Amino acid sequence: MYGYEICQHVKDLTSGQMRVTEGALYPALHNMEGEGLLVSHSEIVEGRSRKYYAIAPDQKKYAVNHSSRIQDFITQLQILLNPSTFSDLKIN
Amino acid sequence: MNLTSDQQKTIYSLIDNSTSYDYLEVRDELYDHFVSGISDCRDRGMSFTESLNFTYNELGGQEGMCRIEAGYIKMTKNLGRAFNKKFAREYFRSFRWLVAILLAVLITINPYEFLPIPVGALNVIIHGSVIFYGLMSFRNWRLAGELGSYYNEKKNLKAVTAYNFYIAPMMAVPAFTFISGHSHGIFLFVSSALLYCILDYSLSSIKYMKRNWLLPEIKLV
Repeated sequence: MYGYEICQHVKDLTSGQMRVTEGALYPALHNMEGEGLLVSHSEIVEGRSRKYYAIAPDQKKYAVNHSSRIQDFITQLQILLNPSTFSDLKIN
Repeated sequence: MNLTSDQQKTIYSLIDNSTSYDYLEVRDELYDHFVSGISDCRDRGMSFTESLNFTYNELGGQEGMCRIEAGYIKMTKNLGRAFNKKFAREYFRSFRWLVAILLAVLITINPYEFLPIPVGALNVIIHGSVIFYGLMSFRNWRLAGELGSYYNEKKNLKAVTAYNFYIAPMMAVPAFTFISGHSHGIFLFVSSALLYCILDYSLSSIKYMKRNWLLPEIKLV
């Protein structure tokens, strides 16, 4: 996927609720590329160069593990933010 | 979506006036982003100027574009650093380093007093510079290949080709003259080692040329 496509994809998936700012996306992509998490290649599309990003083949396992860790973290947050958690709290 | 040449010029001028670019890849990426963004906006019924301003603001304006360029420079440095480590690890294990050190020691110590010291020292400097230049060109070239940088790749290709096919054989002549004064055993060993270095570099360059230059990664769609 190329940069603009990623922004649009996130917007579409979340029905516009979540937006990746383009100004923040490219530095993040370049940073991940520098760390070897992503690989890129360029293609000429309609006469202009377009840069496509993909998860590095040796980093796919890391990406799966990382997203699973984020999901775990969100689950923990949901438990913490559950109203029943607060009802059990006693204030002295 | 087809843009008129004036509209293309307007986009390029906006991109160029926002920051200076050390890497043309960033400029190309931003241009593609602008064209994609403008195309989307125009599909929603916005005019070209409105679309351009909208996309520009989405990118964070001038500040955002400077940040993208700075991020790319940082990424390149990180990649370069990682590649340097990998390169050093490869080369310290390599036979070429042993040959280079052996040659340098032979010339510096000058055990047979074959050459007066200043000439020996000069030889060390010349050989050292050539070996260093060759290694650096080779490294930059491979680094450019790893980064997928088409422009840098082409530039560095010239440097490494010049070294492999012109400078290295030129330096081999004084080196052969120098070692020819020694015993047959040393002459044979050092000259074969030198030949090995030259051949190895040449073969490597042909291999990389085929992979990175004759078959570039940029594909036409």
